[in-house]
Parts: sequence; structure tokens; C-alpha cells
Amino acid sequence: MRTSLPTKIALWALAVVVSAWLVFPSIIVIPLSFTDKASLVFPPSGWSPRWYERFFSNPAWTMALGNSLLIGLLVAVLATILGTLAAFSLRALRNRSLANALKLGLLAPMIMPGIIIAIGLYALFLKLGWVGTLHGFVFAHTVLALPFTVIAITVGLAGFDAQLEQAALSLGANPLSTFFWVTLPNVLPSMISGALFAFVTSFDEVLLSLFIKSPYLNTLPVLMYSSVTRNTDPTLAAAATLIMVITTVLVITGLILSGRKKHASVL
Amino acid sequence: MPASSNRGAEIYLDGVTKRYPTSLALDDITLHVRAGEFLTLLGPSGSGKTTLLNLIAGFIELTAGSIHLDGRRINDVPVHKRGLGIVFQHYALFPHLTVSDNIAFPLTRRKMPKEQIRELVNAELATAGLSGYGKRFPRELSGGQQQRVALARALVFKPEVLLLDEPLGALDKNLRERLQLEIRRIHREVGRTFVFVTHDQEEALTLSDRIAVFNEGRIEQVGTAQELYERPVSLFVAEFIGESTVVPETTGDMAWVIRPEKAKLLEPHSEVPGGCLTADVMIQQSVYLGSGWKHEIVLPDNTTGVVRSDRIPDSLHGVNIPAQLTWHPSEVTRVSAPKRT
Amino acid sequence: MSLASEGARRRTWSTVRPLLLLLPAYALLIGVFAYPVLDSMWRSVTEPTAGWGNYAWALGSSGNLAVIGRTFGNALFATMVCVVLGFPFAYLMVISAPRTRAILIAITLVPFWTSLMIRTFAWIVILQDRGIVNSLLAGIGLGPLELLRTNTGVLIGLAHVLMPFMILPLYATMNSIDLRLIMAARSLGASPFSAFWRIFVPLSVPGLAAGSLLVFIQALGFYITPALLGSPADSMLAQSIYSQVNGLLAWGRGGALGVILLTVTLVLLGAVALLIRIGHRRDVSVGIPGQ
Repeated sequence: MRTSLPTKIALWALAVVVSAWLVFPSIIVIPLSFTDKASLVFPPSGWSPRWYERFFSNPAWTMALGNSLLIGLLVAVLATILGTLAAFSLRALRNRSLANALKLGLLAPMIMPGIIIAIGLYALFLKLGWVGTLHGFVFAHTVLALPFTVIAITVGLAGFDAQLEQAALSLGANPLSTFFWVTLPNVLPSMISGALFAFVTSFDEVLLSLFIKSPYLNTLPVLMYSSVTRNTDPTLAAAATLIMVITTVLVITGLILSGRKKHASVL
Repeated sequence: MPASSNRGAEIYLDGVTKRYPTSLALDDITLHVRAGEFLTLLGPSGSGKTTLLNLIAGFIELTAGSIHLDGRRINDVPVHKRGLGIVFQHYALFPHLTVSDNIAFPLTRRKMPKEQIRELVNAELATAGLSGYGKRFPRELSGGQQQRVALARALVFKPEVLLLDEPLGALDKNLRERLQLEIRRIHREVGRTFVFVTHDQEEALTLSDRIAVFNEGRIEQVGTAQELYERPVSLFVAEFIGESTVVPETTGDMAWVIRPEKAKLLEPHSEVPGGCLTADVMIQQSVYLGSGWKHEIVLPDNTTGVVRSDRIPDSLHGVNIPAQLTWHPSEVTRVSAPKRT
Repeated sequence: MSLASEGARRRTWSTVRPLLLLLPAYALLIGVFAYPVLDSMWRSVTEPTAGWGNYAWALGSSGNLAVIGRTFGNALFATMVCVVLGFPFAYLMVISAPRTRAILIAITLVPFWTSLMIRTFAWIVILQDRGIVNSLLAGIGLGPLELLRTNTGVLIGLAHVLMPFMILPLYATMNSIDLRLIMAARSLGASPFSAFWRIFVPLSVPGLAAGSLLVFIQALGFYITPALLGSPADSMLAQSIYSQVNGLLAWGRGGALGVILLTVTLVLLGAVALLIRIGHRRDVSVGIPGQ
């Protein structure tokens, strides 16, 4: 379809503005983290790595980073295991409407406003004494991450041709080795991308963590949140840049893996 | 697994029935597949032929009846212990394994020594004309090459029986015809029992020793291509295989099935050769095909038919010409045909 | 044992076994999600005393009504901003060449994987009194504008965060529109504008509706962005819930506000589901071949 030139120019002008608006706030923290000044003035007048030095020499920041990485890792493992079992179960169920209903249940945390989950969890964790505990964080974040692993692995399984399993059986593989030699290798990419999204979900989570943190156990985004409300110094920009680098690397890895999977199943 | 002989196993299906909650997919099928023969299960989609193949393979469970392989009942033998070779409709090549690893798969499952596996795989690749393709992945091959890999993988472990589920369905016409000949040749060389599923009657006629025609979960007729063409036992078989003209008898529920080359067209009211039967028809149009003429005719009950002839009187050329259709009862079949309403 | 009962047992087992695999996920979901959410609903009608007192408070005090009104207003405004900016953006994605389109999609996805905390922090830096916007304005002799800790700041942040949720469904719907329909309309005498307005826009309504509701629903429940970009005087519903529970330990009141938020969300989600189903039916009737 042809579009007239003035319309095109107008569309492009708007698109450039919208693009800048979308992207700018995501990347502005990178130059700011290298400023030599103690204030967040943009553009920085000079460059220095000192905010990273400050970040890594402050045990509050490094411990929060360590906690976030540990919790993210555990969440990725737990959510992937639960999600894989669930996805295989949903595939095996003969009753499709039951399977769809059960799948909807697994996705429910995605549509529930976070604040509602947060106050409920807070009450429960107070009762159980789980506030500020590692397993408390892991369980809470896994609830939010589970929908992503379920979706990723269900999609991966949907692209997996069940006839391959029949073929393996007919060629003499028993059900167990069929699973390990045929099913698993084909679903692995979507499991990995599910795990990465689960990690990122946990690594970025603020709202639930605000309720269930304690002075002894804090995550990086929560520490950022409480620092922002007090004062804004460029250490925050350094922390933000670190979070961004870690999540970007993981998300891109995940996209590449899920993209490759799609490519393979199309052909 | 029985030691591999060179004749293939025989399959005996005894009262095989498969019932789904809402439908009867197979209704009391009894069929004897002879050792070493090429048997085709032919029928329209939904007629039960693929269900029967899946039952033999062990992918689904029988509702009733039993399946015997060389006299051994295999109803409860799991798929991976039946040792049947299967070629799937869309090949089902493992996308994460190379061509060589795909072909080696059944051998590694059988814990064969590595050196021997390599030899067998290379031999299969060579037979399939795919030497040098071993390190590629299935998606890097053309449809025809994938088909050859699927065949090689199903044959490499020397199964007694090869089940083929519309293996040529996804290919274009030329490639199809080439691979038909290749499958025929392979069958001759390996001498195993082949059970082949297709809905394409031409393919069935080209390939098979015998054909089992399926309709609505039952076998209508089993026989050689010639038997099915010349002596169809039912209207369904007659209409499914080859062209014909069906002329209902004026009384009773029987009809004549007349193959195009067994009928003659005469001018109305002309003399009919002795012993022949006749019906009034209308020649809709005649097409010259080089080898002769093809006439499309309409019967009084508005059904259509086809007649082939070397030549016809000039008076019958044209569009919508009345004529007499004649045939000799000994050259055609009579089948039961409930009156159409 | 008879064969029939053996078969029946095998069938039962094949139904039950998959459900066993679901058990761990559902155990977590029920224990750490369903139970706590239902518990806080229960508290809304039992704490501090049984009855509807918390709801009377939630919907009766002018302060709360102002918060609820502001929440809806902000969500509506953010949705409108997203429609006005997102529609042309998605349209451009559809009509541009594959490579350009890929870049525009990537741009839309950038905010998706940048953490909410970082983007909100960035907006603080951009909007603060001596931030980028104000130094730009000062450069041309304007300002300074008060943006941070105002409702304007909240709106900018909300619209920014939610923009991808508008663009992606819109793009998906527009992409499935057969552009030959526009040509057909042109050949039948429609001007470019009326072909666009009478053919393209009506066909993109399902995406527009789905995107709008996604943005609106999420805006209703936002916490981090209004808490950091707005002032306490301009708080939204989620902030009220937070302060009732975390500050005042008024579980019942927080729960009641939560139930109100959830009810609105679920009603709107039902609308989304309905629209998607209608859109789906339309796809089918257009004759997209299925399996």
C-alpha cells in the first residue's frame, strides 16, 4: 500500500520522538554511572569509574547484589522444574478443557495486580516467620516467574512433533530413553529460555520484595528503591547499569535460544 | 527379536476393532498379510487405514481382537519391542540429530558396537544416494532426501516388517513417481513385508502386490490390482478404483459396473450384438486423446459415466447426442447397489 | 484379573499420572498465591470486626474516593496517551520494510526488559528540578517546570512503562489486516483517507481494544512508578493499600481496597477475553486456513 509523502514524514517524525521516549530512559543511566561528579547531571562533564568502585566497596550493595543473584538462580531452577513438570502434564492430559483450565490457573499470578499478592504474602509470611528469609523470597518470586516458564515450555512442546517420540519407540528406544534422547533435547532450548526469563523476573522484582525484605536480607532493586527515596547519587546509576547489563545478556540469550527453536520446528 | 530371515514376517489380524468414545474407527477387521508381500491399505481419509497401521505399530490400543506376527500374539508388546520399521507421513526425522545419527539411532538403542554402526550407516547412506550428507541436519535436506533418510532409518535395523504411512504424501508429483519406483525396488531387494497406507489409488496400483480397500472402518475387498479393477465386489470399490459407468438394473437392487473400455456406444435403435445388454444414454461430449476417444455420458437417472473407444460413427460426434450403451455381461461385474433417491 | 478391569485401571492411571506432575506447581500456587490472596479477601470482611465496614470506609470517605478517582483518571489518561502515540507507531511498523520493522519492534521491546526500577530511576533523573528536561527548557529560556513529585510526572512514567502493551497487540492486529482491502476500497472510489478511516481503522479495533484494556488494567494497579515519581498527596490505589497494610497494619482496609482493585481488573479482563474471542472468530470467517 502506498502512503503519501507528507503522511510518511509525519509518521516518521512521530516515530522518532516515540522511539527516543521509549529508549532514552532505559539507556541514560549508563553514561550517568560513569560521571565524575557527585550529582546526576546530564550530560556528565567528565568520566570516572569511581561510582562502580563505591558500589563494590560498599557491603550493603554487594550483599544485595549477591542476594539478588542467588535468589534469581534458585528461582530459575525451581520455576523451570515446576514449569517443565506442569507443561508435560498439560500435554499428557487427554481432557483438553481440563488442561486449559489448569493452565489458566498456572497463569493467574500474571494477571493478579502485584499489590494484592504482596499484601497477602506479607500476612502469610509474618505468620510463618518467613519475612526476610531466603526461601521466602524464592517462593514469592517463583510464583511470579512460574507463568513465564510454563508459557515458554508449553510453546516449546507445542512446536515439538509428538510423532518423533513414536518414531523413537518404533526404532527400539524404550519410553525412558525416548524422553532423554528425543524429547528433552528438543525442549531444552525453551526450558533454558524459560529459566532465563524466570531469573530476570526475580532479579527485577521490587513490589513483593518491599514487603518481605528485612534489614538482614535485601535485594538489589529493593536497595535501589530505598536509596532513591532518600537521595540520588550516581552509585544508583552504577547499580542500575549492572542490573541492566546482566538482564540484557540473559534476555538476549533467551531470545536467541527461543528463536532458534522456532526456526528448527518450522522446517 | 527373531533372527532376520530374508522373507519378512507374516501379519495376521483377527477381528481387530478400535472404538473411540464417539465413533467406531475399525470394525472387526480380519486380514492376513503374507510374508514378504507388498500390501497397500487404500481408502479415503477417515476410513480407518491409518488407525489400523497405528494398531499394528502399537501406538494405540485395540478395543477387541488380536494381532499376530509370525504366529506370535503381539497385542501387549510395547512399541519399542515390536521391532517393526515405520516410515512416517512427515518423516519424523529427529531435528537435533544429524542424518548419520538419525540412521544410527535404532542401532545405538540395540547397543551395537560403534564400529559396526558406522559401517552400517555408511552403507545405508550409500544405498540411499546420500553419501557425504551424513553430517548434515535433516532441515538442510530437500523433501525427497529427507524421505530417503526416513526409509534408511527404518530399514537399517533389518525389521521383518516395514509400515509406511502415506510416506510420499508431501512430495510433488514427479518426485513421488520416482520414489514409488524406488520403494518398489527396495521391497524387491530387501524382501520384507511392506504395509503401505495411501489414499491415492494410482499409487496403490503401481506399488502393491495386493490392495485392501477400506471404507468406514471396514475392509471392502482385498485383492490384486487386476482383481479389484475387473471384479470389484461393491459399488464403493468400483467407484474408488478406476473409472466406470454404473447402470442400475431396472428391477432389484443390483447394478452393472462397466469399465470404460468394456462398453460400446451405438446409434439409437441400431442392432445390438447377441447376448449384449443395452441402456439409453446421452453423449455429453467426446474428447480425442490420441490413443482413442473418451466419451462422457449421462444416464437416464442423471448419473455420469465414461466410455473409451477407438472410433465411433460420425453420427455420434457432437454435444448431447442420444446413443445406446452396450456391454457383454461376461466382461463386467454386477454389484449390489441400493437405489439412489 | 479380567482384561477389562486391567484396561480400565490403565486408563484411570493415564489420567491421574499427568495430574501428579502438576502437583508441585499447584502446591506452590495454592500455598503462596491462592491462599494468601483469599486470606486477605477474608480479612476485608472480618478485620477488625465482621461485616462490610471496611468497604463502607473504602467507598465512603472522600479521601478514598479521591484516590480511586485519581487512579481511574490516571489510568484513563495514560491509556489515551498510549493510543495517540501507539496507533501511528504501530501503523508505521506495519507499512515499513521488514528490516525497519524489526528495528521498531526491538525499540518497543527495550523497555520490556529494562527493569521497572531502572526506568523509574531514570525518570527521576530526567524530571528532577535540575534534570535534563529542565536544563533543556532553561537553554531556550523557559522553565523551570515542576515535574517530579507531581501527577504529571506520574502520568509520563505510567504512559512510558505501559506503551509496549499498547503497541504490540495493535501491531499484531494491524499486521493481520489484508492490505489489499485498502486497495479494493481505493478501486471502489474511496479517497486515501476514507479508505484508511472506513476500512483500516475499524479492522484494527480488536487490537486497539485489547491494548487499551491491558494498559488500563495495569495502570490501575501500579505502585512503584507513582510512589517514586508522584507526591504522597497524589497517591494511587496501590499506594493506599501499601500504606494501610505496611504502615498502619490495617489488614481489613487494605484488603477491601485490594478487592475493589481486583474486581475492576477481573471485569475488564473478562472484556479483553471476549474481545479476543470476537477477533479470533473474525479471523476464522475471513478464511485463514486452519489445521
